[in-house]
Amino acid sequence: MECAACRTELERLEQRVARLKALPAQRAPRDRWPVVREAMVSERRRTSWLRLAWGGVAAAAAVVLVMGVQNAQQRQVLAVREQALNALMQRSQQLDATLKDVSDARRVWSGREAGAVVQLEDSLSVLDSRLARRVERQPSQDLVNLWKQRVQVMDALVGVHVTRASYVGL
Amino acid sequence: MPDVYASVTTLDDLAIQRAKSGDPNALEGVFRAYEGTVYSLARRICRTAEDAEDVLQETFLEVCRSIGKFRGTAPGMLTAWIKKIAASKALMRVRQGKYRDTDELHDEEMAAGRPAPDVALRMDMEQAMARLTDTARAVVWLHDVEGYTHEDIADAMGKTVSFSKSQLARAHTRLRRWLGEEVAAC
Repeated sequence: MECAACRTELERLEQRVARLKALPAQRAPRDRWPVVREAMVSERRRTSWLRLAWGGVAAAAAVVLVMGVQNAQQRQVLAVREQALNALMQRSQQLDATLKDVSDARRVWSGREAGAVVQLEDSLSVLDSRLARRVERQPSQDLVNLWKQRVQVMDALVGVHVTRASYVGL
Repeated sequence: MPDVYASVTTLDDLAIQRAKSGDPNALEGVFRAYEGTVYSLARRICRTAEDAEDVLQETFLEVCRSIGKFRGTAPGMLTAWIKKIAASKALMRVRQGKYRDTDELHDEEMAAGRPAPDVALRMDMEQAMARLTDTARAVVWLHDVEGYTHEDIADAMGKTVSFSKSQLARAHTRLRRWLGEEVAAC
């Protein structure tokens, strides 16, 4: 540094800083560790309780969610089943009407045809009696299957009648 | 090494690791190793011993809370981390502005044309530092002793770099006067 005054000033500044750094360390008049430890322990206790409480809330929410999803899935399955059942019942009614129309005509059955018709009508009456016994608040898959079988039997029965009617030229 | 660091006893890596895992005995070890450093720093920045004690307590609560997240095992890094927390807590107290600065009163007297009673008064360094405003004292201590840059101080105080520089310059002018040093004319 060129200027003597500035050099002196800088030296004084450095001395001042050195005096600052040389100031003695100070000690806290009281031991604060017991207070810190107590605060830390109660904070940890509070945190673990909170964690536990939140864990419980999360578990309960998960159960509710799973039940909700299961209910929704079940409702969806029931709706699909109900739709299928309605369609089968409607189809069954149509086939009943068709059978009534075609069976009114007088015709001669061969032994084999008559056997087939008797067998189908037996199956139909068994199915109808099983269906009559079913009282269900919600449609089961078993009930849907019964109606499906009824439609299949009716289809076959109508098929036999229609084929015969065509054959005899009605 | 200045006296303010004399109270730091060495903690080994294992003790730091145990403290990081939340072991209460290891945490007490950290407290015992650094309480002097933290209290000295807080006492230099805060006006009262009670405030410095509160800073000591708040600093170690924060240390206990966050030491698990502290990345580093070397004691030097731990010292720097703890001192940073302590400085931040002490500056928070300064920002709260609990006291009216004596230096402001002194400036008001000068502005009113009354002679300042402390002109050419020789004080020791402790007295002179105590007479500075809380903000000026914090800037002097952090810059001259703790080695903070003006950017660090500005960041920690939420002020500008020029604020930190002007506080330091004014504080040194006052310290020089109160310590009875002559002004070298350029």
